[in-house]
Amino acid sequence: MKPAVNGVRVREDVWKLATWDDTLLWYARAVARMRQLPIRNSASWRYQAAIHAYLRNQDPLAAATDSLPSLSHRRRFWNQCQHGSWYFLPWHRLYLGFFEQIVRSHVVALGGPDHWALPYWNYSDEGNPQAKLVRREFRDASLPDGSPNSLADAKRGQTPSLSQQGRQTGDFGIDSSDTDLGCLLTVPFRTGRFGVPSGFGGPRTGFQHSGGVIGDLERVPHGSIHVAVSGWMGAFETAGLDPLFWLHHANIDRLWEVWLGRGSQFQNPTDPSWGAPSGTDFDFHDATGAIATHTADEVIDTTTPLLSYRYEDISDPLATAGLAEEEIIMGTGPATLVGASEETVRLSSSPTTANVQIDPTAITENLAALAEGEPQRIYLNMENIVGAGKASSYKVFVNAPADDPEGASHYAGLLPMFGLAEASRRDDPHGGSGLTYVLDITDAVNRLKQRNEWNEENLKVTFVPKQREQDGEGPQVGRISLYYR
Amino acid sequence: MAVRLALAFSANIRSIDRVTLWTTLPSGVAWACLLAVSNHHDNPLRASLSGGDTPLFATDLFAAAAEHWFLMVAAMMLPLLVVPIRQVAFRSYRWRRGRAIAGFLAGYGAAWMFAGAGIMGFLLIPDVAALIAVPATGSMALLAAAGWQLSPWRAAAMRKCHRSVALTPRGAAADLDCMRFGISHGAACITVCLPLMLAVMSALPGIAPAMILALLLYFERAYQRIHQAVPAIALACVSAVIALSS
Ligand SMILES: [Cu+2]
Repeated sequence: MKPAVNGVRVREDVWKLATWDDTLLWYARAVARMRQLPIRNSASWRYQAAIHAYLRNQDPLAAATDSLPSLSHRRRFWNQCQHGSWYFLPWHRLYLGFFEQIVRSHVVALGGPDHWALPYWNYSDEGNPQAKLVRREFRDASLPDGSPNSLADAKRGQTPSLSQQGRQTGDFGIDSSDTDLGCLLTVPFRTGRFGVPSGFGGPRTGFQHSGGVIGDLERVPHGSIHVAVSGWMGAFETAGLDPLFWLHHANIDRLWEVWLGRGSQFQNPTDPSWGAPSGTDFDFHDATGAIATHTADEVIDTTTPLLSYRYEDISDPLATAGLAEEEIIMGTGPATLVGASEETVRLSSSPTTANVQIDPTAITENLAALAEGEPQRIYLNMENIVGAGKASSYKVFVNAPADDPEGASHYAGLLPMFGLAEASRRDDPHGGSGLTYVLDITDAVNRLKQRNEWNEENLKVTFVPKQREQDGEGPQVGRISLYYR
Repeated sequence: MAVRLALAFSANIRSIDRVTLWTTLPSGVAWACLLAVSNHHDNPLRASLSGGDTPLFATDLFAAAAEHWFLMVAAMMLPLLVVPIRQVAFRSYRWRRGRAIAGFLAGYGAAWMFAGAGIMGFLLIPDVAALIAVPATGSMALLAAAGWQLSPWRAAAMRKCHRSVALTPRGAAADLDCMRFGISHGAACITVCLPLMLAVMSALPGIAPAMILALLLYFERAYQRIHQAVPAIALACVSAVIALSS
């Protein structure tokens, strides 16, 4: 455990810690203590998970003796997680900040160090062959002293076999499509336009802006890791119950710092509703149980007394990969619809192909609107995806030949479907609109054109599920559409 | 000078997004019409709601009430439609955007006119008309609206107001989808707004209270802390009742 400097604690890379390092040992002891507290107590494990989301009939720890906080308390403090929104990063930063403070207060109460900080799980670390594995401290049945290990007390794994394999080896099937850091290339933090990706941090939401489109970081690696670990991590209302969740989100929070450090063009929003004290504020409880209300602008600097942490390493992983100079600028103009599927598309446990008819009039109109010399970007939209049941990732391919549906040269991106069931329920803030994903397929289309595999009238989109042994019906895509800018 | 001013003005207008402009502008026109009408005689809907010595549903008054209802809905609701109109527009091919928006508005307007006709039918029942003539009824309606404001059913309808749908890109199915979206959005809007509108109309005479209500409904959506905005409107209803009774 690294010491704090001027009260600023260090969030360390979990894979760089020694086996049962103090950071993990004290985390395990604090979690065990928090698990003992009743759900009404804001410093309890279950209360902390319920802040993200809570559904009584999905609560694996529900007991007949439970006494929940009042309805008005729950409305204000529970089910608060911000997804598909430009508040995704600042809200989760506050969420983790107060969680860390609460865990630390338990650590101190148990006689531990007051510079305890959350470690982070850097599954994208190219220099570490074990990066994608779950460490043994989260799998061992007991602590070194023989007491039960609270860090391992969670349901994980996409399938029964992956669950068993994961528990034994730490390999839950996470692969490089789940840990891809392409999101770091995205320049704007947010956009608020139809048809275009919503930026690194998520779409502008709130009045006069509809939410729903998942930001690049929130899609991969955030959503893909949730879905790959699965089990409790695979659903909003149980995710916070898995001690790994907090290490995963610490890494997402760290990637925000990495992104900001990549250059002067990587900037947080300056809109008053995001970055000013008058902006949207969020309610939490601190370690003393007092209500704490904060806005996004207060969390931009992690070293202030409110948060008081920094990351062990925020160097740019793309610099070593030779991608430092690359960036994806989305421009500010609107994109136009140039093609769409005529019907909804039902995905299943085997590859599904759908057709997007391209409209010649729309193409002409788009060319007319394009300024001279302006590079054209091409976006694939998967609109209003709805479904129930367990979330599972789909790989998307464009114009893939039938004999090689999963060729790398036709790959367009990954749809993790994290939060699918939640976004499909009528009681979701958007009335069950489902998930909308936007992939920038400009490069993939250029490759198709070079190989003469581009068709001006029709685009074939193939969805390949990552896990073939899923149960029941797959999600339904409301519409697949193609936008040009 | 005048030309430069005009140019600057038009540049300014263009920098406001067009959907906001084309919802705010007609809403303003509708408010102006309502004001003009209320200068000549008491508003027809209020006349019908309050009974009194105006004959309840003479043919011309029925038409006037329908017109008044239409203007009221346009004035109050259009500024709340920016998000769904944008969605319908930008999820459609450019060449059929106008048609898509028209389809949405037709469905939305039909839902509200249908609700309006239902209310008028209800008011034709003599006992109801007599009841509405009692001054206390307005206060009761405001209290009921305050209760509705806090109910989970209204909250559910409000979430439905934020719903987006996938639209078929072209053909008759596209028109049908836009209209259907308009109807379902209208139904959600009616559930959210109508009880408040009726309560305010029956309790507080004139256009000013309706304008205040429209502003409240607008800011309820604009203000992100919904758990404060919703009870604030309920509180406003209760305050109005207290003010009326003192
Ligand atoms: Cu998450």
